[in-house]
Amino acid sequence: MKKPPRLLSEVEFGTFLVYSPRGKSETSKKSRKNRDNVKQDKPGFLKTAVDRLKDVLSSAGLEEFLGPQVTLVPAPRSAPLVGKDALWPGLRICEELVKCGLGKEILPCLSRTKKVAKSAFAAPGERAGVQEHLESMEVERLLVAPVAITVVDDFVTKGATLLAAATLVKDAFPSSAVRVFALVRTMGLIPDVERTVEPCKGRIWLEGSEVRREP
Amino acid sequence: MDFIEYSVENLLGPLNEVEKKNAPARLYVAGHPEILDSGARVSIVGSRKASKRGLEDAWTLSEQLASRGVVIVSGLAEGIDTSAHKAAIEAKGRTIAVLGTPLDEAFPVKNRGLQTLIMQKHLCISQFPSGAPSQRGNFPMRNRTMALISDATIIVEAGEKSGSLHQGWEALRLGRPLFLLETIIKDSGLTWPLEMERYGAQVVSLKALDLVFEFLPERTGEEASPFAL
Repeated sequence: MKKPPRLLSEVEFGTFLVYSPRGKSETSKKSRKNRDNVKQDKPGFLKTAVDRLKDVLSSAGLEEFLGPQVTLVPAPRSAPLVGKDALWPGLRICEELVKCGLGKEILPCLSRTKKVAKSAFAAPGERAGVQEHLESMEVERLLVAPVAITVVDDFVTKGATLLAAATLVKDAFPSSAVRVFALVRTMGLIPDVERTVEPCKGRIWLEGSEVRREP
Repeated sequence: MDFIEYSVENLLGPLNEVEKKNAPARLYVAGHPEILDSGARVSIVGSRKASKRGLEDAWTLSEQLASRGVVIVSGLAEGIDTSAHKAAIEAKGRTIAVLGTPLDEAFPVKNRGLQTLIMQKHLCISQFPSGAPSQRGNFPMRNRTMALISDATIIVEAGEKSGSLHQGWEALRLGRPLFLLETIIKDSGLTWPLEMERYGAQVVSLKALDLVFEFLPERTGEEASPFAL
């Protein structure tokens, strides 16, 4: 078995929606409805979200993350897929992004070989660490490296999945610029969210063995 | 008793491509379809020839979930299914029976009374029109439909050839939460629980059911349009 690569120390990340896991306000409840719509791939929702994202892409500074020059790599789910026709939210988001002109092509080169605990629902001490994520995924290599790659996931909690995924993609395509994008950012540390749409860019980085995310 | 025929999307709402794959074209309904939107829908399923412990666990599970507003979905079969339906009714909750026969037939016959009660006070659904022949494949088809109707599935007890496994695999394919009651994992003679766990099934204990709620959508009856963020 191949030894996993050394973790990237940092990766740029972009995001669009926010959700509150337990907030009581109407906006927090709406944010959870959005979460459910993403998780269940409710027909029409991803297209709506991506259309809105396209409108604010430039003002949010996300043009390097998504656009006709960027190859999109869907982040794997937290467990291996049951079959080729199983729901894969990362892939569905990529499909809508490409349809909307926010991606050049989809490269489904990452897969999960071993289940890890779902970040959004695991207690802080029980979340899979970034090393565990790294060791539970594999990447398929290609001869030709894309110029720019963005790894796309449905949710980001701390960012361990995305940092591990970016590490593997960068290892497979060293000459490519690698960024990450999550459609929804989990806001677990504040009681309520004030809005559901909050496009921004930031960074995910490694501090010791812990992953940090800003914002 | 009046039966109403719906297209699957008229009854359950628009389906995505993954959901459409194994969805029936039509569903036949007796009872109160508004129950579908009255709370998160959780299937409690398992063996027909269940152990005493399995029947008790299904009862406790159904009672606890129903008393917290969850709509209990099951297949009206003997064993675990019957226990789940009865406990939900006893807890003054709501229950949905998804049949492997047309609505005007009962299987097992001894559950006819329970089926009539569910049709009158709750909701009964079948994908098989009146007069459709009983075939071996009907029950696995019904189990996949039950996975489609449910926001999550909990398997209480099931052997290696149980029909509940069809539902478990379909729930995983649909990306819906699948829970295995912890007693299943402790039964070292079984191979399927480890395989399902590998693909994302979660182990749950009767003492820690909050975990199930973490995974459930908030279904309030006032569904927001998917076109408003």
